[in-house]
Amino acid sequence: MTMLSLRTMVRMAVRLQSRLPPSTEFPDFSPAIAAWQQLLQANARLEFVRQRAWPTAQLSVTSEVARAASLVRLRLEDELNICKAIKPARATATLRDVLADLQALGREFPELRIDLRLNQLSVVTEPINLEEVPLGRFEIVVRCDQLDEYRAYHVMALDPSPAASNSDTIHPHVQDGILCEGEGHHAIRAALSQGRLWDFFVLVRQVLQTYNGSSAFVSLERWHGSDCGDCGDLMSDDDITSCERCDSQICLDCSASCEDCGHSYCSECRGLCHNCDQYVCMACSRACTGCDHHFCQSCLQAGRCAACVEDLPPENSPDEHQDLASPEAPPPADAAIQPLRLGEVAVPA
Amino acid sequence: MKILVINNDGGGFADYVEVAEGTTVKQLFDRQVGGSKPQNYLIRVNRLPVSAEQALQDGDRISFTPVKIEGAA
Repeated sequence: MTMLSLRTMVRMAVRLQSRLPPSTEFPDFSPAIAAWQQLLQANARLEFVRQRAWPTAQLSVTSEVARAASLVRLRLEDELNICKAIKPARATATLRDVLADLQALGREFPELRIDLRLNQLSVVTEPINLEEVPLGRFEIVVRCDQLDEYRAYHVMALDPSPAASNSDTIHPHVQDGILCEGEGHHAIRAALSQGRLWDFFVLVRQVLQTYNGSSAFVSLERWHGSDCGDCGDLMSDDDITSCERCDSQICLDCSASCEDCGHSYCSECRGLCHNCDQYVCMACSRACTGCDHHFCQSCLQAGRCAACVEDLPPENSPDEHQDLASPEAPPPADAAIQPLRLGEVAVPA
Repeated sequence: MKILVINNDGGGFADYVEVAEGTTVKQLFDRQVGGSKPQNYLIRVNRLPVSAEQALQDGDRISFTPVKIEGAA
């Protein structure tokens, strides 16, 4: 329980109450007045055509007047609804309410801090443990001159135990001092805007005391860090990837892409091509039918590596062998110098 | 009698409501929150914890705040 002097509390209460945002929306009849001006102009045109007995023009201008009159009614109804909704007693806390909140905060939290020099009001929570992960105490700090701003408060860790992968994440839902309010967003904003400071601090505390595993900056399972499945080193958030075959978490240094398919794998799910030493995954690598070593697809020819292809006995036909191996045989001695070709006939000399 | 009811569940609601004399905290909770269990809420009258059977007085300030409010990332 906090023992602050009543004088200090009153001084802070005065500052806070004076900085509370405006209570509610006030009516603005200028749109209704502008619509009325349009109605007057349309009515003047109607008078003009009526005096000249122009029946066709009267019909169209009458429609125009009806539209202008509807718009006037709509604008007036909007502003009348706003007039009826004004309830100052609900909208803004009085000085008495703010002072009562400060006194209650001193009982609700282990510590209430008022810094008149920095114009700050803060509370300190009990130590927070989420799923057996101790996170320590937190201080919820409000700047009294920023109550109507979106970042009116921030959260600090008094016994820092941040995520191993990111020192700016002091709580699964707090990063860089900003609480991601989630389900509490609207209620927290309503409490701040209405000057209900006790409600505001209690709401923020309840968010800090609740763990939402499906939406955390760093999950509690990884709070103390993740080890690379290959090298065992502690990985930061930026350095984590996963094997596309077995899903194990590995660091970027231990991840390598398959030469054939291009996907990334851990050391268990990939090997080296026996020829070119490039990485190849289990699915893409093939064993040579000759030597049984594993190769990438580009280092195999008809299922054999280059070395095994060279060791193959010749299997080609003799003609082919001859054509390939020996020069062209000379023609017979009595062959015609220019033998008859297709479409030709021998002409006697 | 008129009391200030603050429901910090969902969007947040704070307004004066008329209640009958002798209305208890539990009766008002059932009316305002309804369908939820009281143990899932911090129930405070004039910012102090109270018993469910406590009768409300004119001008009281009663608040219902969920115990579990999930944040996000």
